[in-house]
Amino acid sequence: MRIAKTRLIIAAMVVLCGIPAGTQVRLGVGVMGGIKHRARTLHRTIHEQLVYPDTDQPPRLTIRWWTGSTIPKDDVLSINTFGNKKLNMPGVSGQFTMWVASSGFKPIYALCDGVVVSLERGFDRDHQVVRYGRNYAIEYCHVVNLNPDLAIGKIVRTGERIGDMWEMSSGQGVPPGTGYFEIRFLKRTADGRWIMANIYDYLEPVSQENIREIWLEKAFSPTSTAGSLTADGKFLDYFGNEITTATICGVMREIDIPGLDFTSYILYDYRK
Amino acid sequence: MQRCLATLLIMVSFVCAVQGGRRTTFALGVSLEETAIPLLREKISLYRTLAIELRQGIVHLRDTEAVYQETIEDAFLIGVRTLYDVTRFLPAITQVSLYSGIEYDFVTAHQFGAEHPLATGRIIGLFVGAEKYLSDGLSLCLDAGVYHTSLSSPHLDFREEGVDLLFNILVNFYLF
Repeated sequence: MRIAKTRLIIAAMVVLCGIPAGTQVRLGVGVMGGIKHRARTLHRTIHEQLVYPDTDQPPRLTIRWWTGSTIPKDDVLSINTFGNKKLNMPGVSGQFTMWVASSGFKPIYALCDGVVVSLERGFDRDHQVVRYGRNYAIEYCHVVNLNPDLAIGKIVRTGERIGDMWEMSSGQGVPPGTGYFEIRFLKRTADGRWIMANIYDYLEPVSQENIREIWLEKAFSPTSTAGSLTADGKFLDYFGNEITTATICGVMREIDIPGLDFTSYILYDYRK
Repeated sequence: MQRCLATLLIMVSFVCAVQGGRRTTFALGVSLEETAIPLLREKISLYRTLAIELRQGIVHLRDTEAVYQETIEDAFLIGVRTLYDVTRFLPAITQVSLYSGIEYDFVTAHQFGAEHPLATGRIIGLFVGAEKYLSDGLSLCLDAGVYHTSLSSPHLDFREEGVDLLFNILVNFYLF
């Protein structure tokens, strides 16, 4: 019995000595706990390290329209900013998207540098996410015909083509050939959640001025979803805050709706 | 589903126990895990001292308490173990049969709605243990081993690996 014990101890020591120094050893029951631990650690690692550029600061966003840095107002059918009521998305009230309608299949370009963290392909799957630094991301919504050079983990530069604006179907009550795209500006809070922030605040001055010009021209049209006009001539956003023509925004800068978290948009894979 | 499986295994064990005689050739079994769902096993004796075991498992990765885990769904495992009877090297031990062996498992972890897996990987382990028959068709195994787990993202340059010292608690329902 003593010999047996000695053999077992020697065998165990040989195996344990084979573990490289500095290796973090985990104790557990069964293999599945280890898989869970390591898969979650890997997911967290990717989330923290799939970052470009190496910064915590917000980007300065530049809109590169299909015609250049600015576009003629007539090239935009409708626009909304900001804190609008999205009638077609019940339950997600007052999204801070920048919504622009034009004719379909216009190219959409990256507003800032970043790294691709999520791509969608397929029917009614057309949201593409580029992350800027650790705390910001831009979600390009309704962008189809993706640039074939894009892949998860690829670094994109300002002005690089993401894809094309989708075109609505004739059954949606719009003139043939109408398309639109939206841009959500996502921001990570101190507790790690991703919320929506007002994209207008992060645009560089030329883009801001161009958007404002378009907005002043188009936002008050009968088909606009930019806000609502009261009897006394005030223009209000979805939350009842007055939108001024100087800022073209209500008073809300961020939307943090309990239970609404955009963490799932900061993915690392193509989504079906 | 877990209740149904447990009930099925108990019924099979009961039926087999009525037949009498210790069975050693083929067993269905479970491995108790830290996670909620036990791992399923099928053990087949190839020779008197050599057996092979197939293993299948699933674990839910989602954790609502942590924001990062909201997009990970499940991990799946499929693996094989070889079991070598070493009791004859330790003649002083008669109450239980001793075994040692190696284990190799293939693992995939998935994200919600993703086209590709978040990670694929493998587990390699060395273990020693003891098996005690509680009846002619039911046995309990306890073993311990050193395992190396490696997971990597298939299309990103990220890897997670490490060593686990694991204890396994296994229940075998011998059918033959």
